[in-house]
Amino acid sequence: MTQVHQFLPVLDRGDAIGNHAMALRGLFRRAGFASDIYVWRAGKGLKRECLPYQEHRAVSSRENVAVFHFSIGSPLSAYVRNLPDKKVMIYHNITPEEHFIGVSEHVYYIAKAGRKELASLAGRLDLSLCDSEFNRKELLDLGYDNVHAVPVLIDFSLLDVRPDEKVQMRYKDAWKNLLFVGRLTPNKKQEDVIRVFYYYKKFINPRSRLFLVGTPRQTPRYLTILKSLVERLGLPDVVFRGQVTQSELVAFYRLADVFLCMSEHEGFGVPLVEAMYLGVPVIAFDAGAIAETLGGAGVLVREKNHQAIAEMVDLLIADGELRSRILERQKQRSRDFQKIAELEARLLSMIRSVTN
Amino acid sequence: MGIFKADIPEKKLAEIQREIEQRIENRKAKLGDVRSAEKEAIGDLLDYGRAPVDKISYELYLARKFVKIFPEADAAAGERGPGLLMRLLRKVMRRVLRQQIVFNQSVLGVLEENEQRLTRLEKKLTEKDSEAR
Repeated sequence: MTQVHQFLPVLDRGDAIGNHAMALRGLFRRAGFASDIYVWRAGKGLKRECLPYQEHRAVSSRENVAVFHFSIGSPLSAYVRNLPDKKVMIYHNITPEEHFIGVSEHVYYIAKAGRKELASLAGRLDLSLCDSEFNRKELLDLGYDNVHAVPVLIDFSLLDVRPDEKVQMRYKDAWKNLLFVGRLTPNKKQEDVIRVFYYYKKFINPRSRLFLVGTPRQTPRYLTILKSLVERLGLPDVVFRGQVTQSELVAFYRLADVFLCMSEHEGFGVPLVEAMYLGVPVIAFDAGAIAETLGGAGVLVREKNHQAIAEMVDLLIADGELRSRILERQKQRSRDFQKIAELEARLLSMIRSVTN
Repeated sequence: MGIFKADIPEKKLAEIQREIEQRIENRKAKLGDVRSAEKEAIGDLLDYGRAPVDKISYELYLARKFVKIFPEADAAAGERGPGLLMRLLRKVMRRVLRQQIVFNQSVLGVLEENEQRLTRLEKKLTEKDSEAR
């Protein structure tokens, strides 16, 4: 039996890449392939979901396929590059290292090393898949061939779970809630989300709060900077929620009146699709693959004018006609990502083309 | 040209952009320059991206981080450090040793690749042997 195994630097709870890998594992197994996930590091409570990559040597073979999820530098790059197995890379994009200057030296150098590793894999793979045309173009510029853009496989059943009751009870009131979901890292620019919220709360609607849902684990210094920002602005009701369970995440989406994304680098942006699916109007800064993921839905912002964006937040909440129109368009767009059977068939056919 | 883009009639979008501009103007007229007040409060907190960074490789960064050669004297504990000549010599030695570590890591990487190639060749030979039998 051909084996199709996946490689991830880190398998972490609530991480989009990790969720994508687990969805793929299910797909490969249903298709009759033996399939496991091999990692460099396993997040808390996930050791049973994966194996250390060093154990893969025992099953490595020319007849098998190694699917490598690439988003950061790691020892996996060299390991996978030298395998006799057929090699498929799923490129999720590496955040440019400049974003980590002054925040995390370690992540800066890992991201830098990752860029070098990415370049070294060109011409050594049987197939490369990307989450977006934005990512695909990056690989083509590095000299990769046989590169295809296939959207992330999102398990929408995870968004249909019951929202966490404690979160709902705590925040269910007449206040308006802004939300951003994503790791607390400088490229995601939660500082700009806070600055927009500052104008909204101080000058437009004081009965409002901001939820920032996402772990600061990789760059704890950025959380310190954000908390200092909140303090300097004298801004109450900014809720840093860290890593949350799936039902807590859904609860935050259900409480949100607007999803606000000021990220300056995204290879895809899974939370944008989640917000669209769960009926939260999106305002997002036009950077990276964001416009591509939104596909004309939501409200795209070309310039970070925090006051203007705060006013748009207010209009999206108060203007029923505008809100309905935006939500309707978002609903249409989210359906493109729900064509799971089609996406799965496409992915399987690509994997099979490599095994044949 | 406005800063927003959305899939709504152009006329409506233009109306929204004008309304937003008007609201900002009204606020300025009523409260003065709120942006300057915000920027003053923030100060240089968000200038973290301007911090200096060494243009070195990841391997050298790890070498510097994890390898402490000739640890510095603990002034707080009253330890006296070495003289100028010795400090210079130690600085040179640190650089040489760290480069040696980086070189060794590269060599280890090459040795690992060779080991994998040998394993593959071994497998091929074993397969050929079995076929021949």
